Amino acid sequence: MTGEFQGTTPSVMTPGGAMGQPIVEIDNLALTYPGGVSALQGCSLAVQPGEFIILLGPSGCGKSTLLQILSGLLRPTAGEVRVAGRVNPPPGKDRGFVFQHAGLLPWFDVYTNIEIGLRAKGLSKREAREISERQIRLMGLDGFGTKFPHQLSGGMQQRVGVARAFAIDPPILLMDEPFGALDAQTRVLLQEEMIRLWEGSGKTVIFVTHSIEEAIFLGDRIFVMTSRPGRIREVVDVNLPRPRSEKTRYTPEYLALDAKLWAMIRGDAERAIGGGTPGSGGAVE
Amino acid sequence: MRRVRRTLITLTVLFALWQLAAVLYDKAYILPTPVAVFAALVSNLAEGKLLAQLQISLGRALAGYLLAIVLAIPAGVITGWWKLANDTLGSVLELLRPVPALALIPLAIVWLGFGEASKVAMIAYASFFSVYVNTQAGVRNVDPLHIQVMRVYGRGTWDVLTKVVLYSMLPYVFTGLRYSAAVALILLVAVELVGSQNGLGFFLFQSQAFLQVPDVFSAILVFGAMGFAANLILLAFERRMIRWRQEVGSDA
Repeated sequence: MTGEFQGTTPSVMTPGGAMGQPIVEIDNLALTYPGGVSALQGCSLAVQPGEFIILLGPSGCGKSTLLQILSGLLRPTAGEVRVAGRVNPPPGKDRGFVFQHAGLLPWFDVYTNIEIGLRAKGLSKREAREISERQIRLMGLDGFGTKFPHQLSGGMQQRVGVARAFAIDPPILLMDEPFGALDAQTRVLLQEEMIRLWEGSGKTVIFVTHSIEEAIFLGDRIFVMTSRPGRIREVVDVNLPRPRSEKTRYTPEYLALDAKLWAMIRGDAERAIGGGTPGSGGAVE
Repeated sequence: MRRVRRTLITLTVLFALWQLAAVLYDKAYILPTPVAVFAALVSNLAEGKLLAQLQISLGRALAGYLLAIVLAIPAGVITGWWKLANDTLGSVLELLRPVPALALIPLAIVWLGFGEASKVAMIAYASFFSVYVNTQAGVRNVDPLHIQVMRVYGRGTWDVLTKVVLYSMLPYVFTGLRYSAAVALILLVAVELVGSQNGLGFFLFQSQAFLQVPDVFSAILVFGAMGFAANLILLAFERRMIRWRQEVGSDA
């Protein structure tokens, strides 16, 4: 354990307000791709155990890159991440990963897809099947265990992706715009399911999205990122009570946060589509 | 169904025209009538001499073809996955590939003799390349996302190869297998026409020497049937093995 907390990262308060030992720390991280594109630069943050953290930013701001570094798929070019004290750890069973497009293997049925991480944990075929069976029930996928991904809707595919991550029961969940490719209704339903699964689980979630609504509805704290090269620009606390439900979306606090965050990232979003010259502000409203 | 009907009608018309032309031309030793050809085919099959030759030819073709597959798939995987293998083994194979296999038949005979070895070796050599090249392409076209999934869930290279690459390359491999089956057949004819004492190709050669043109046709028809059957068998095999990408909406 590297112990000392440097204080170079944004304030580290748990939802309960107590200062604790962060489970994930990112310290002055930089990643430059071989082609010379700088995805991240001077990116720092700290996450307390059990927090639901949102990384919010415009497309191409490096938030997915950051998640890949946390997962161990990518190594940073400078700086480091510490997961439970381990520096730049390789992929491991302490972190579950949910991919944007579910990332199911099309030649395996639902059972086998959910069991991908379980077999790596050294479980027997039978033990793995028991766990995947339970996950299937939890995700409302009863009867679909022997179906192949192409036989499922997009929403069901992503439920399998989430089930695969929960199956290894990791303390940390890394989620890379998991609902971004779904239609609006399915997306809302899966967000509510996510809340239901997570609340009371004690798991730490780091959730990447570019949707402000999703960020506020799900998160404890929102780390707003700058456009590329990405770093943390601001940390916004979401003080909405839990358990959250559909009603949460209509509270004044929710709407106020929505407006605040949109004001914050609007400029970046405009630049991303190539519009929004200074002075033309508000033209879209 | 409609396609089958149209095909049958077209064939009937073609055979009728052939029959008419042959009757008008009236030189059966050059252009026999289709009726005479089918009569020859039936009697050759019934007497068993065509089947005996077919058996010999089939044995050669299969031996060469299977040998090619057993070598080409691992070679394609290894060179497709590891750069070092591609820069060494892969480079050598790339240099051999453009050499027309038929040009190597004399060398094969000098080295391996007139027996089975040279024939099987030539068929294997020529069938090798398209299975190899397609397997390699399949390995290189693996979706990186699927590899990431395995890695992020703690699976090593062996699992990536056996649980991802092996499956995702299959459609490519089958393309290679079907193409190679056609090549194997071409080489079979070639090695049996050049210095063989038996087999369908030898029967073909002999029938031509004795001006038995209906027999020539019957051998050609059997070769054609072999190619047709090989393709059908491989397609059926492919459908069985690649169930996961079957028709969208087969289940709803």
